[in-house]
Amino acid sequence: MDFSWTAQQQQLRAEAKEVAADAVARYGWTADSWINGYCPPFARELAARGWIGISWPKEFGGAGRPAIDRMIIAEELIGAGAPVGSYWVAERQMGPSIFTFGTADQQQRYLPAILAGEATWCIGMSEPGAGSDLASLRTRAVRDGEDFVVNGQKIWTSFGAVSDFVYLICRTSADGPPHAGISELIVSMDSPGIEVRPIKDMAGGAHFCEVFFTDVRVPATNLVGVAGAAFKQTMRQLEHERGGIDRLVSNHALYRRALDRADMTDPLVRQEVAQLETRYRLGRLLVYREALGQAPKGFSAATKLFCTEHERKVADFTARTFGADAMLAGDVSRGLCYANSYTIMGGTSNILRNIVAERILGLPR
Amino acid sequence: MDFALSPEQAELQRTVRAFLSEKSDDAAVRRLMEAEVGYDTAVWHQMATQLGLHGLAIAEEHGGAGFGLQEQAIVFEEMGRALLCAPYFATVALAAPALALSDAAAQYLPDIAAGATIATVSTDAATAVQQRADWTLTGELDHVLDGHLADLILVSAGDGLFAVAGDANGVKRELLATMDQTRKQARLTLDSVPARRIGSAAILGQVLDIAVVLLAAEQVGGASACLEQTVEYAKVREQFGRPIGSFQAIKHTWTEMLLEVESARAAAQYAAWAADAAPEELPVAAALAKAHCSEAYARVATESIQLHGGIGFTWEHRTHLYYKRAKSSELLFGAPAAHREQLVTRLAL
Repeated sequence: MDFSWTAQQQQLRAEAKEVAADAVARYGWTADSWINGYCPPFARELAARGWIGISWPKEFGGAGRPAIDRMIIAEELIGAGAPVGSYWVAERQMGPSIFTFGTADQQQRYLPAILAGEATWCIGMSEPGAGSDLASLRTRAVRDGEDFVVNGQKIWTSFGAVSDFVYLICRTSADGPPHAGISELIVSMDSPGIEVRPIKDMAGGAHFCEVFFTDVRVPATNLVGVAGAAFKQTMRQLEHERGGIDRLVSNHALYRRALDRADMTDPLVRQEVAQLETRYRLGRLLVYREALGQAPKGFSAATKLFCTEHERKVADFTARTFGADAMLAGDVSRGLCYANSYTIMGGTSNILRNIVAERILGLPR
Repeated sequence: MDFALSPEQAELQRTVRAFLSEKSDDAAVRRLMEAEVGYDTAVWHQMATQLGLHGLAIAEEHGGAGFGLQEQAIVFEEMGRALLCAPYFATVALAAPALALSDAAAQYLPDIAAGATIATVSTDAATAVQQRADWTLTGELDHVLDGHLADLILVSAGDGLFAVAGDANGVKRELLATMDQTRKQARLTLDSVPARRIGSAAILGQVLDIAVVLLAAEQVGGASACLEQTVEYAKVREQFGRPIGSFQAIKHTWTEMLLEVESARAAAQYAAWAADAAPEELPVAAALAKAHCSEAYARVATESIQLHGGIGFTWEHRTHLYYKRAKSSELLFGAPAAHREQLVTRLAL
């Protein structure tokens, strides 16, 4: 075991802190900045530094650095509230999916724009009748000559209104068991037949959307990986999505402001801060273990659970610290509302508890 | 950043686990916990001489193997799993680190490494009186781990740390009836007992940081054993025509317990690493680990009894042994709230 950072990683963290502080000074800070911080200019700046795709393999245009380096950057940027939203999903999840499962043509066509911070992607996964239950997806893509024709509806699609592409999880076959006929398609958001309706969330924001597909024609060459294999491919993506540092630091920027204001002479406040610091530090270790690939297989669901439950407690603490002021519209009340979403998106806590119990502990279904 | 055990560490873990599964099975634990002496002298000497466990983290110049706290923590994790009954914690986690920082390391440590000396440390202070070069100690020392049989007792008094022979004139030792019978405690009364000053009282503060880290490792071991045994039971025990582990409420509880154990392991491992490699981080890491691992173990052991239902409340079942060890070690060296208070103080928040 070795919990030290290399000199290079320490340097990277120091640099990331500076970049984050500078971005916050110029663009302002956002809690949940990987969801609400849509800022293409900042994405292009990070791309110019080579920080987008830093852990992607060199052959696909990345820097080939270890995943933990990406965690260091993400932790400092999101922790400070720097606006990373416009490239986040693409860099974290879609790029790795495409370089892992995509064709050479797809890799050449889509990866450079992600690396340049110029493409925003969303994931068309959830449907009104299917959240974590992928096998019950109904949006279908039917082969017609050189194209697929897509019909259906997606919901809770983050960045749906501002994305260039949607990574669509849809049904391409009704034969066989329900999870066997699901495929992944890359769909340009300017395709005719796509309609996007932003959904106002409880905090008054509108990052997520409903996306409707009516006879949308998608070239068959946009199929990613093996037709019908999306269930398995998506599980790999969820490992990227679930076990990340973004799940721990969504409202860390807010927490820092709360700490500045907290009455640290109050023994109860001291106990609570100690609890939060403890869970935060341990959450980081669990996330780093994921990033190193040293966690048990499938443990990312448990890591996400640990981290997002912590995030909710941070929001509670922040609200209590701000007291009556937290009742007013603003960052604190937004954080208080948003805290409800961490434990829903990417799998609700109760579903994750089932997954962990069955897959890690081996408890019977 | 690397969470993996080195091949040598993994080998150490396997060896100790195999040894303890044979020597500290349920029957051995129950036999020893009910005996006043409370440990098996033959096993004790095998641990010291064949496995080299007593001297693992003692410097080579003092007869040890010179490993760090990470290796020592691996051993304590296994001892926690097996609920080993022995004065090992008092001797190796408390007294040995204190002696290593004292002026008397060369005198005492070789015998500790060899398994020839059982030693302990009192967290209560005594009063010291000096007559020329000779010191005597007087006082009441409570909750002294294995104090009823220790050959050597380390006690602070004033600004000094003192060594007292367990059988010195004026030492009265009383074995206490404890909730956790697997770890003995004694009340010692010192009445003008001859003592030797071996260093400054400040040593105790440093030693407690090390001891709570090793206790945290032991707690992780106990909690993992509890988790594994309980989950296995949940897979086979049937009620209402299905295994109880298929009930969602039980799945959810045990997922939470898994997270308690895994996060506790991270806390304990990080703290042990800090003790070896980043001493400036040890004070924070130790306070964090003691508070977190204490609560994690207590929760897991408590839920374990609940999952077992009626049988979990019986003397015959093993769960109460873990529960009692968990609750006792939660309170040993200060309850979690005290360590959390230290954590924020040490973080200067």
